[in-house]
Amino acid sequence: MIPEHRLAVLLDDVKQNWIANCLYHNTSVSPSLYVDHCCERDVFPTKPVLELRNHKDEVWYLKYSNDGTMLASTSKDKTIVIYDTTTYKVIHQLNDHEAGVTHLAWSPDDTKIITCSAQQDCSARIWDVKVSRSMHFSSFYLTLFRRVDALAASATSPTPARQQHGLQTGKPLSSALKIGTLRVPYGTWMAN
Amino acid sequence: MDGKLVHNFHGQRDNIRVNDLAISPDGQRLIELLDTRILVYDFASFEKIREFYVEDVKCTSVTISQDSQHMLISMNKNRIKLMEIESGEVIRGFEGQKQVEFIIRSSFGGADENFVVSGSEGMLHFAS
Repeated sequence: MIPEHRLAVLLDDVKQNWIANCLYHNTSVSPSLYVDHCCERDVFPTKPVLELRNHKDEVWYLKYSNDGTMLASTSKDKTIVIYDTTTYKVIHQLNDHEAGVTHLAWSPDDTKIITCSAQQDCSARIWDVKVSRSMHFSSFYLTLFRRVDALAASATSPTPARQQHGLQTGKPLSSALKIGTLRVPYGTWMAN
Repeated sequence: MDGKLVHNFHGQRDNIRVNDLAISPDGQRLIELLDTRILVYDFASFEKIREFYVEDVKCTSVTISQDSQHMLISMNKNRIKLMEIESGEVIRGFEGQKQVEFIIRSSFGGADENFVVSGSEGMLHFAS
């Protein structure tokens, strides 16, 4: 007896095999069975379509919001810029930091971002995105935050205590080390 | 949310430099990247559960995949490794990008995270 749905299973295997061998595969659309599947190289994003020049100094970090509607970027010029991703117009410019902003993270619901800055400011700020206002400010003695993965943890841990864990995951670095070695190249800026 | 310190992973005397860190999307793991070591903590208990050594290179950045199983680590010089978080097994290495002087970051991209994308001193690289 032929197992149930055997043909469907075999055809699915064929598709999976095509996808595994397709070098430029970049779509979640299921391939058609009418022709052998193979993605063309020019479907792949290889050329910049837009250049955003709103920062006045090196861009150190950028991240799309979880729902993809906004893009936030941080820079050595001490500001954070938030863009709308349909038009790439600036929605907000956040200026409170007093040193280059090294990293940022979006909250799971995209209503807040947390940002951290370099010496001598050494602070982390939580911002409300809708009103573009800094909600909370924390200063840490002689710390340089390389990274804040703050509110990523609060998705699975809804209690307030967990959100604070995130704040402290930017760990204190040895103050003896030179900050100058943490330069981030301008070339990491890319708009899709 | 009031900025109180909840946990300090290292003592006051520990003079270590954390190059990068990441929390897995499922909230279970915290990966800490030191120059030649990778530390994996259980985020619920803050216990260190794994420690991996990498020789001859300096690790600069880490990204975790959406399924929380794999991590992508960029290293000086010119190397990226895809490793499994639980076992530390190196699944693939990537070369071709240039990373010598600056912090270069790499990331997963594409539909279903098929690709690895990395910056490079001079250009942007994709690897399938």
